[in-house]
Amino acid sequence: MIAAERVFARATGALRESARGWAKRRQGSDHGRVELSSRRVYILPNLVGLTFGLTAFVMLLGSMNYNNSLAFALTFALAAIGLVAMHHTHGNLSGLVVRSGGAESVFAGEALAWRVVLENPSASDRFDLCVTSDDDAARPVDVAATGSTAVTLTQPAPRRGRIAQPRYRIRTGYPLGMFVAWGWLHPTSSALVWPAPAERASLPPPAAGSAGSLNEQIGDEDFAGLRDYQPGDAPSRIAWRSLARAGDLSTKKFAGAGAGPIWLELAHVDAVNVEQALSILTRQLLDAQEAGLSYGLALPARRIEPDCGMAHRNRCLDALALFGHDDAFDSR
Amino acid sequence: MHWRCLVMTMRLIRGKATTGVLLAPLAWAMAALAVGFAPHVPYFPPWITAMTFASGGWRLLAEHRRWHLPPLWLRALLALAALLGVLSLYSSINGIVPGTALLALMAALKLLETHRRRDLYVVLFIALFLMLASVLREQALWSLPYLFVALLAVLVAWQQVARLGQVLPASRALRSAMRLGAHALPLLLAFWILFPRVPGPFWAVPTQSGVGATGISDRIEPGSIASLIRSDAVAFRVEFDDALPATRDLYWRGPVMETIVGRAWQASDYSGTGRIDDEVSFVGESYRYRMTLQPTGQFWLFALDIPEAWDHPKARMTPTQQLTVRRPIDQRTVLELRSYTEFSIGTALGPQTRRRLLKLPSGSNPRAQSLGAELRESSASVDEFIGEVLELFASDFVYTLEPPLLGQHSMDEFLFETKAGFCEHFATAFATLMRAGGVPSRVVAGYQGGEVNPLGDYLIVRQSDAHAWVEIWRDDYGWTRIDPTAAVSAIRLESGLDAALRSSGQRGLGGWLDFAWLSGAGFTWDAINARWDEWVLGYGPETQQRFMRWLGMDDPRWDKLAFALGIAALGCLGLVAFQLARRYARPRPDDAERIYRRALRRLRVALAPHETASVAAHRFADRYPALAGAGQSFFDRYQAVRYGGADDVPTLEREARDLIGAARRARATATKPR
Repeated sequence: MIAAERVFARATGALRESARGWAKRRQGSDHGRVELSSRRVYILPNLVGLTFGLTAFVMLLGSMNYNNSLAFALTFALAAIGLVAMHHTHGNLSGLVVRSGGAESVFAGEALAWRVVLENPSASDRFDLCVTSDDDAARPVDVAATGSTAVTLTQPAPRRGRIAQPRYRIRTGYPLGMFVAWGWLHPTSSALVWPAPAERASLPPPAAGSAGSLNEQIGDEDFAGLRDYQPGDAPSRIAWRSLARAGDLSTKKFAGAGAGPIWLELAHVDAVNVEQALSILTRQLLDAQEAGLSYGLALPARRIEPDCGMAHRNRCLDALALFGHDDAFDSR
Repeated sequence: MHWRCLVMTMRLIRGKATTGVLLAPLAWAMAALAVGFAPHVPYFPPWITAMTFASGGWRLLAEHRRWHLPPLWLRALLALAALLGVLSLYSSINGIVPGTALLALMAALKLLETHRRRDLYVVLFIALFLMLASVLREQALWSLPYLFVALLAVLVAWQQVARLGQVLPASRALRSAMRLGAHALPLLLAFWILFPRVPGPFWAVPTQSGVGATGISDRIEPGSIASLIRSDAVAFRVEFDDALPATRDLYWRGPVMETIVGRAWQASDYSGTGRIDDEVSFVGESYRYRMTLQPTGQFWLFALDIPEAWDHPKARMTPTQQLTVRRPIDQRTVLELRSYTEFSIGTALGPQTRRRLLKLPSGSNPRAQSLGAELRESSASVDEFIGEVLELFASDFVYTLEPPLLGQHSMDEFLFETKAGFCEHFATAFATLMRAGGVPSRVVAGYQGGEVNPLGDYLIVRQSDAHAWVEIWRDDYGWTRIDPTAAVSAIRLESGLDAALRSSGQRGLGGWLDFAWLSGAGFTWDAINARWDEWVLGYGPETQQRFMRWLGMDDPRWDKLAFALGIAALGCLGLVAFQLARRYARPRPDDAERIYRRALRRLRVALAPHETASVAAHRFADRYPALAGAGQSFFDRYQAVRYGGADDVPTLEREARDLIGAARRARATATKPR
């Protein structure tokens, strides 16, 4: 029984996969705004629809047998409603405009959230649209006439590197749930997954010859007092507790803040393998950023000069994400 | 494993939990079920209705209060109880009524275990089957409106059950259901008209789908027609192609009875007797007419005396010139026939048949038998004999709708004691006397006369027109109709029963029936009913063939119909697709916007989509300095119409036209060499 189910599942899975491949070859990849034109909206009856059809057929046999005019009327009404519902379901989806909005980078082990915006250019509302990359249940959304609705598709990102946005589909059964209409989208956007930061790692000492007194130990744990808040200070470094107490904004000063740049070098990290080394580098990078240090990144193939700020951080993380991949570097 | 046992045990004690998520769709599905259930309420014993509504109400409350559903064993017990209840009530679960009762109970029980959306679809399907059962049982004039309303209700509920998000507001769901219905309507009509109707059942069904045998029976005894007379139910309606025959010629022939069994005359079963048909020769003019017969549950049709042709494929004529069918008429049936009111039947009677047609049960009605023999002996010819008997009836007998009850020797009592009777008394007495006098005779039952509805120009024949008459065998002419009732009450045949009763000083039919409604509104109502019966309830294989021929399709076979249906269905669906394309089209810019955009194009003023009308006005003034005033007026008006709520599109359009013309002239003069 279970074996049979497995065979069936495998067979339908293969069929489904080949259908998707066919759709991909037929439609090509989708850039930017894509209108689900009627030639790329597919429709099939689902279990409810098939049962409905069977019901109409049984009623037809009954009507013919009893030669009962009103039973014929009911049967024909059901048949007509079924056929019309098919068109309504198709119409609810076709003409919808879909924008694939990419996703923010995340650390490995977290989940990517792909943004998808559904735009309804028509004068009529659309209901019960499910955006899903696999076939699990997705939360349905409605899109008002001439309006748009944003949804996110989450995807687990277990490993670092560049991840292409997987194809996904938009599915609807509205209004009667007898047919399921769907359209495939094959987006070209991708996102970077940064290495997962290690649990803890100590920062390397500032580069030799850089400014900074020797008696100041480097470390973000070393609280060195408060100074007045200046615009541009990271929120994480604002002394919120002191704000609550005294009522004025101050920024925490750490030992090492203002110290010379540190170099985060892959070659100097002591780790069993490259991935672990990258994790440690990531942790150090985050800690340095947190501490407000100026830091540079040195990888065998790439060197990023010391700097600070979020843009710098992201550039460095991107470099770590792509380390060792053939992928050409870009800033995203 | 232990854990699984624990879960099973828990299931035994309490059923699945409810979450309250299903509350709204559940209520909608129940509403649909109630609509499907409603027409059955008068036919069900109260406990079925009570049980269904109680379980529905309980289920809603359970969802509301997050109670647990009843456990499996309790539901199984209830199902068993329901099954036994239906069995004890109807002693079967076959047939429409018990089947419907069981279905309704199963719906009630299904409600008790619905905990997923999918279960709600089952409830909706049951509602559809309940609707089907209601029209299989009865087809009244209200049935079609009922079907429409019920289908609409089911559609609304269906949408709510299928809805994945929050249920739609009721008005919205109703609008959308009505749109679905409106889109489905042309397709429904195409199916209705063109779907090839095939005669006959495919498997044995209980012969009466709720239609009891009504009307004339094939067995007549004193009192059997008098009891029919009190009903004003329509037996059939007849539409003549040309003029109507005279009322006295309107003998609607039904069962022909040749055998006496006890007190009753009975029709014989001719299937397989091998008796040769009597030859019929028709005299005079023929009448073509269309008859819409109400379901009788009987095995015969009615026709104006002797039909020469009929279009019912399964009808056969018996040797006694009666139209019979193999399956009881349990639907409205529309027939086209051609009949003659004058004819002669048969040329010779074999000795065996003659003996059979003279047979009287020995020992019954001895006085009647001897009276018949005496009268025949004292008369010189058969004609005289007939005359004598009719004279006897005319002189001494009373025509009444309330004849005294008769005992064992019913003919003796009628002829010598009570001397009052209805048409079947006179017919059977006359036929008995004829046989006693050596003249073969038989009794014919049917209807006589009818009432013309001037509105539809057709004849209504009711149960109250039921009648019985006699045919006797004359060696020179063959079978000849004699209506002994005419001898007693000639007016009955000319003007109908009511007049006959009143003229003899009796209470008219008004005592039982109120014929006052038959004027005006009554006739209108009957005319509607007649069309309904003919075109809706009676739309079967024959009507379809006729209708298709009328539409110009010769030889409408099923394959031609199927082809036409395919074309029509594609057309209807194309129409739906077109409607939907319009519905989902981009919103059209309103008139002001359209005029404005067009004017900008024609004025050759380039404007980015985000730029406003004031920018456009400036740009226009730069380009056409001479027209700056007119331009300002146009752009101001555009803003007033589009954003200020001013309703002045015609002026805007005129100004645009003038401005475009002026601008064109200005451009022409500017390019002209000076």
